[in-house]
Amino acid sequence: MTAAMATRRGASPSGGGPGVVGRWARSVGCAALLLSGACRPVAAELGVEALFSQGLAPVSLGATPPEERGVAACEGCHAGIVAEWRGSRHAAAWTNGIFQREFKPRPLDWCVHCHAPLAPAGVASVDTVAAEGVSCAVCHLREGEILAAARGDDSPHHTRVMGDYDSERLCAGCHQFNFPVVEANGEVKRYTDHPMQDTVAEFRAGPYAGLEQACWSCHGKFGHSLPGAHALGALQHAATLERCWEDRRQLRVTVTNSGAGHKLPSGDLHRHLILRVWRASEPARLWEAFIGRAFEPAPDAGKRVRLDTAILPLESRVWRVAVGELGGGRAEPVSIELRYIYTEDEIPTPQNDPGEPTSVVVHRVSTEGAALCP
Amino acid sequence: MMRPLLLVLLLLPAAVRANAAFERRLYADRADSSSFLWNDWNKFQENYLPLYAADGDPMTAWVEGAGDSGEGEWIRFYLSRLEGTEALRLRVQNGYQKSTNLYKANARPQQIEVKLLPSGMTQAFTLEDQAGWQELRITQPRGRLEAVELKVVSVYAGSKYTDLAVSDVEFYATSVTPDNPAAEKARYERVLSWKKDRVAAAAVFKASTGAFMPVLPRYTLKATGATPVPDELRSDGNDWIYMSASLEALAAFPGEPGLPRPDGSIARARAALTSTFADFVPVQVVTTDSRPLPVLDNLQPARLWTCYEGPPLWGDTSTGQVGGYLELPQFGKVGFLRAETVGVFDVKDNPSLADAMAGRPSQCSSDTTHTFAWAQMAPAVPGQPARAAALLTVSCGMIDSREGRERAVLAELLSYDEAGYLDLFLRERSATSFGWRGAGAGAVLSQGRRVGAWTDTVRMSEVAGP
Ligand code: HEC
Ligand code: HEC
Ligand code: HEC
Ligand code: HEC
Repeated sequence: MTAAMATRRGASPSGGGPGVVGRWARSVGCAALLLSGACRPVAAELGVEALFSQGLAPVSLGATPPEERGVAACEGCHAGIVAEWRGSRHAAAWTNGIFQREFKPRPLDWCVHCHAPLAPAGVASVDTVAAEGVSCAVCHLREGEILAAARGDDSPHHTRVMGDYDSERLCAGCHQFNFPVVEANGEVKRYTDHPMQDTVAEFRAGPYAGLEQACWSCHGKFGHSLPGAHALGALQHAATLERCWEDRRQLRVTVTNSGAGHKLPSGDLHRHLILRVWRASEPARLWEAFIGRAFEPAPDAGKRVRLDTAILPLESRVWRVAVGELGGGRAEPVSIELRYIYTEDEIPTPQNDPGEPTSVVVHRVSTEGAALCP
Repeated sequence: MMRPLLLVLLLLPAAVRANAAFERRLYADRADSSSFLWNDWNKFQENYLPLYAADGDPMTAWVEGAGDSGEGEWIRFYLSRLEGTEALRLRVQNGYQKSTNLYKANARPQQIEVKLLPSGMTQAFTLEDQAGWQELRITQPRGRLEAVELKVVSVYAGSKYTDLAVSDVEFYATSVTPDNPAAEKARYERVLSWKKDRVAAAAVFKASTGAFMPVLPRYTLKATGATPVPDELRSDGNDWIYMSASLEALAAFPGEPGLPRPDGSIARARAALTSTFADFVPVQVVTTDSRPLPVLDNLQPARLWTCYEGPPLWGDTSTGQVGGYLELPQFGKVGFLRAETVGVFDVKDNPSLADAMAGRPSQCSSDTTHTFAWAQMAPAVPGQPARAAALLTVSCGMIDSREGRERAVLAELLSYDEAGYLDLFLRERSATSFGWRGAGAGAVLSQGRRVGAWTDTVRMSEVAGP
């Protein structure tokens, strides 16, 4: 930890305004009363894990006044952070076409709890504030207090400093969950044992586990814009593509998860990559490899993984492609492409088009200039 | 963890590289022509539609149907929209190359004009009078390419027929835009599946020789359109709100020759929806004509669980375009087109309609679809067997979904006109009316109109027999 950070953190318990002090005092009292069952704890006091319910309920800001809930309430003083956030996927969590297209046919309140967490009662209650998606208040506000990893010296806020605020446990509130048990009326009250999004568990099982500031150390490099799979630069950093000739007939293609702290791909169940090798004169004979998870219905409920070809952090995966099968002339160069696909259907029908790209080319190279493999 | 160089990459959009133009193959998945040959002995499968010139099979061909030499006829192929295109190379199999005899017997283009769209660049070529592949190349200023048109200027006359044929055309575009092999492969696969449907339909018609088929082998798309859904149709309400919305959207269209507005059925459906089908009795339905309805150009049995999205209403499937078609009831049996071939039997053990719509019956937890039915009987006619005026079906079962398995429920209403022909078919989000030609057992379904009430538009597709 840097010295500057240590100071910021050290400053928090005593440096807070009277409101904060009062708050802590009350919470101590509460802990005592808790034993008698007369007082319900404020979620935030239990650590960041208690801030979210993995989608089982909306996010409740408690006593926070309505005018403080929207992003506009922060923009005046945090214009820079707000601008970063506007470019993030969190800002588009409710409005983006890919989500809306999958949500609309079956509009479960459960989805709303993560994609527009401030809506108190499902889709019908999504107002302009809730439509801001994963907004400032969702992560930083409870009961009129600001939650943060540290308190700045000039902070005007009643800030509750949470020791694990910048750990992966905060992100796990939405980025780690299982397939739900959907009841006949569309309600979700519990989960199956089969992970739907496993990103945080992947992180914890991998080489970066325990890293200081966890997810934020990487995704937070550009502040609150949190680049991920929708940011090409982040994808190109996460995945490396190499090719060389085994011999004159065989191409070796290697994809390495060079920069993601979790599997590649991770997150939503439809996310996958396809590695393609082809000659331009014979597109119908292209060679393809699927990288991602495929599911089958689970006997209890939800789905379970049938096939998982996602690439572990720092793992390299090798494919050998017989170029003779690709058709075309011998002299014709071979193209190699690694494409990231956000949806189930890479090429949607016009009626089903989400209005934003369903895929992005991460890397594309040709065999021109390719060397013999070492 | 990240080196500074990589951080810079994160910030910048992908390095913009100046691409060099290169050639790649494109597939047409849709084609139009000035005419095509339609004749009786081959009408179901190979009626020489223009798309047969883009299926990679020299055994099939586009054959023009203008009745004269073929001069002045044209065929247009739609390709993937490709910006930055500089040239198009065409490989052509001229004439009908199914066999040497057929090649000689039919006419083939001699001088042609090739036009690129939308640039409009045109160039004249002379094709050789020989079997096998020949090549043409046409250039344009770097820009968009969407389609290419071949126009016949003069012909090599056929020894036996005046019909002019082109067996196959392949497309190779030179462009600076990166190629997308998966998209091209998908287009080609669409052409192949279109061909397969036609062969299957041909088999159904062939197997039915002797037994009359009350549908035509092919329908053409006459019109499509969209109007905003009126506000009052948007409101969320009971189980039947979308069916009502579709019905009213359809009722807004006046009748026309061959396709009268099904006023009787509309009134019946309205009353039924208002009373939540109070006078419908639980029944079991069977049909005396259980031949499957084939997938025809622009007319297909509804797919069971397309209820959420509905099939697209746009486009003409006869030209290979993915697109709209009229839906027939999901039973997919010929017999349901006429009340006379539908048998209804009272049953006691149907669940209540409300329970069925909520997916509560135990049958709904199964992977196989179960259908419950209710009927409104037509007024009894002395001396004639009782028949249904309308059928309401509720199908339910477990389907695959994002979250696992999901219980799906789908209602359909079939309503027959006074003579017992199906003239109104309602699903949750689409309404279709049918027009019939002829009378009695020899009548055929000859026209239709489908209106879909989704969240934003009412769309209409109309098809008519050839
Ligand atoms: C997904 C949860 C999340 C959302 C949404 C979010 N933040 Fe943060 N924010 C964090 C985390 C985690 C940190 C701690 C990062 C660290 O340790 O430096 C943080 C840090 C901060 C800080 C203090 C550190 C700094 O960068 O100056 C401010 C101020 C802040 N956020 C403001 C905002 C504002 C304003 C918004 C809305 C535009 C917002 N945050 C949205 C999670 C979030
Ligand atoms: C009146 C100006 C102002 C407004 C409005 C404001 N902030 Fe702040 N905020 C500050 C200042 C000043 C700091 C301290 C910055 C520092 O010391 O680096 C701060 C710090 C923070 C921190 C870090 C923790 C802390 O207390 O130092 C977070 C998180 C934060 N603000 C979130 C928000 C959110 C969320 C909103 C909107 C609901 C908001 N702020 C509105 C001025 C403001
Ligand atoms: C309240 C729920 C919630 C919390 C808490 C949360 N996220 Fe998210 N996050 C989402 C949702 C929902 C999306 C998907 C938005 C969309 O539809 O594209 C998302 C998307 C992202 C993305 C973009 C991924 C992509 O594929 O482009 C990144 C990166 C991300 N979150 C990082 C974080 C980090 C880091 C944290 C913890 C500091 C965090 N999130 C906490 C809900 C949350
Ligand atoms: C527990 C929180 C949670 C719930 C509940 C949830 N999601 Fe998400 N969803 C996320 C997160 C987090 C992401 C981002 C994943 C990533 O990028 O790694 C996401 C991503 C997505 C994406 C991909 C969006 C994109 O931009 O690529 C879609 C689509 C989606 N969710 C749909 C749904 C639907 C539909 C539901 C309800 C059936 C739902 N989600 C319920 C948390 C949730």
